[in-house]
Amino acid sequence: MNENNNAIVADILFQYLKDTIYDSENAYLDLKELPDEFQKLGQGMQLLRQWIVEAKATSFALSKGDLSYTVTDKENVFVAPMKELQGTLRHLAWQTQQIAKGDYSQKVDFMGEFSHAFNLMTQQLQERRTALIEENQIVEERNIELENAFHLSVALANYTQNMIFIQSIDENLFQNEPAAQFLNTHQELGKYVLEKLHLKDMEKINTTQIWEFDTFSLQDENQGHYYTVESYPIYLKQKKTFVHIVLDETQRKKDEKHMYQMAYKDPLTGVYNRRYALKQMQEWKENGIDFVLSFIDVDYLKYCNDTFGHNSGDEYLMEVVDYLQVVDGLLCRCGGDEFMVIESGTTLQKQNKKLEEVRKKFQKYGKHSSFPQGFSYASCMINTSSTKELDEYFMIVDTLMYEYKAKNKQTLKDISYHDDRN
Amino acid sequence: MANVFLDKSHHIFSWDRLGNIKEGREDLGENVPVMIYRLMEYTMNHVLSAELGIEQADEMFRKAGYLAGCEFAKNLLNLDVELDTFVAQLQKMLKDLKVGILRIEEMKDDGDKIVLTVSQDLDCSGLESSNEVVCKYDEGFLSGILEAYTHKPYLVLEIDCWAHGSRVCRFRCVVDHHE
Repeated sequence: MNENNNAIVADILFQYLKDTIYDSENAYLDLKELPDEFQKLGQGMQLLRQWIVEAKATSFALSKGDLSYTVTDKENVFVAPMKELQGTLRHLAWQTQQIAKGDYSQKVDFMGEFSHAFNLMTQQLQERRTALIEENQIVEERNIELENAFHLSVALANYTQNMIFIQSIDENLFQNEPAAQFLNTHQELGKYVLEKLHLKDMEKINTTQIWEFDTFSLQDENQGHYYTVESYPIYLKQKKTFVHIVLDETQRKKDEKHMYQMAYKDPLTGVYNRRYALKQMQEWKENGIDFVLSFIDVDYLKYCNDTFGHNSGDEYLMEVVDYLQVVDGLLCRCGGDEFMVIESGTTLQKQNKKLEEVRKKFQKYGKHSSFPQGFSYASCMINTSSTKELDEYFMIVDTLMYEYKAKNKQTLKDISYHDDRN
Repeated sequence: MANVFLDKSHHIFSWDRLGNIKEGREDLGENVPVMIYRLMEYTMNHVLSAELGIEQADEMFRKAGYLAGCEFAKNLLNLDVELDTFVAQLQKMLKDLKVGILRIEEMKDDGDKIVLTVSQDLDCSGLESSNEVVCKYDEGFLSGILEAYTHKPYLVLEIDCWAHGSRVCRFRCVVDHHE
């Protein structure tokens, strides 16, 4: 072969090599154009082109995420690392599928930082899953407990005469027999009670509530009812629910009112009694509230009782009370012909002035003309910052009152006697 | 005169035939270089192939691998666990014993069809390329392990091998319904 031929062969092979690298799909080498001694080189270069084509196709498939691409020439050394990568990716795809179905037992090894991150992720997922399962179990158990408690509540509810309602936010879930009977026989009242039981901000209430309501806005004084409600929040099937135990407290309230009146009211005049006045004064004293204490002593009550009978005496007292009602403060009957007014929001002068006005009015316009109607009074400012005890004030006011009486009480001889009974 | 007290033959394999290695190799320990393992394997391959022909020699290796797989599974693995756990356990065991890095690529029909790879394989990784796959022993080994666990016979075929130009060995394991 001469030098010219060598140059031609070199050109052919160079062009083929160039095409193999940059245009491998179309690179073509005709072995017939090569002399014998270049045949083996030519065949090798053809194999190289074939492997490069396959390597490009394999890397392209991998870059597109195609893990099923099959390499035909298993001896292709360029493709071997890609096949290893393909295998690794297939394995990771399988691992991920395993994790998706809840298998956290698989581990990724020998992939550097990726192995560590992947295994850590798997471990954390497993821990979270375990925690979730445990949490679910607790919730499950709690639900069963709650359901049992609910059934027990329903069973117990039928052994009581109190009304029991179980309500979620949007529905009435249960009412026991007394409650059902109440709703049947008192439709309007029943509706009102159910509305009242729908607690405001139900979602926010998590502790037992004991509260009251009455139905006086719906009914008159005689027919209104007082109810005390115990509301227990529970969760039923993840839904906030309340068990309301409704107690009709109407009779108890009436009894309480009666007891209160017995304890603190004067049965004849209906005003407060001495016990209540003492309680109130003590409270004010303890709380540092100054007040004016006035003693009032009705004139000639004994005379009225002895002369016209006790009924007239009672009427006389009632009349005094009517007049005294205009005086600001708490009017109390201390017993017999003695009254007391205590008022925290006034001055001594104002209170005395008012009492004097009332006394004069009563003297002038009182019903009985057969004896001089009237009362004596005296007041004192009780200063809570003083060290004086209430008893000492009482003595002071009492003395002042008797001084007033001595000075101002009209005598019987001044008037002519009339027997009103005839 | 024959020793009537010792009736076991080294020609019949059982797990205890592996001996007490710790005691026997008190100073040298339990490990040996991969080169020595391969020296035994490929010299044996050479002799068996020469004596029996390549096909028969491959079959002998496959059978030996199968026996090894069965015994390996029975003696070193917990066979009473779920498939996923078993796979994870096998993976760890092969890694710990430095046999190879097992990775599952595909598992279908409750494990009846499995494609897996073994990289850094004890038998072939680093071998010079040839135009043949060589891990016949591994084929048998894997089929023995899978059968010990599932009680189903497996056909295991090596489809990629280091010795055949790949960087990992890939095996397709399928339950043999004809058995």
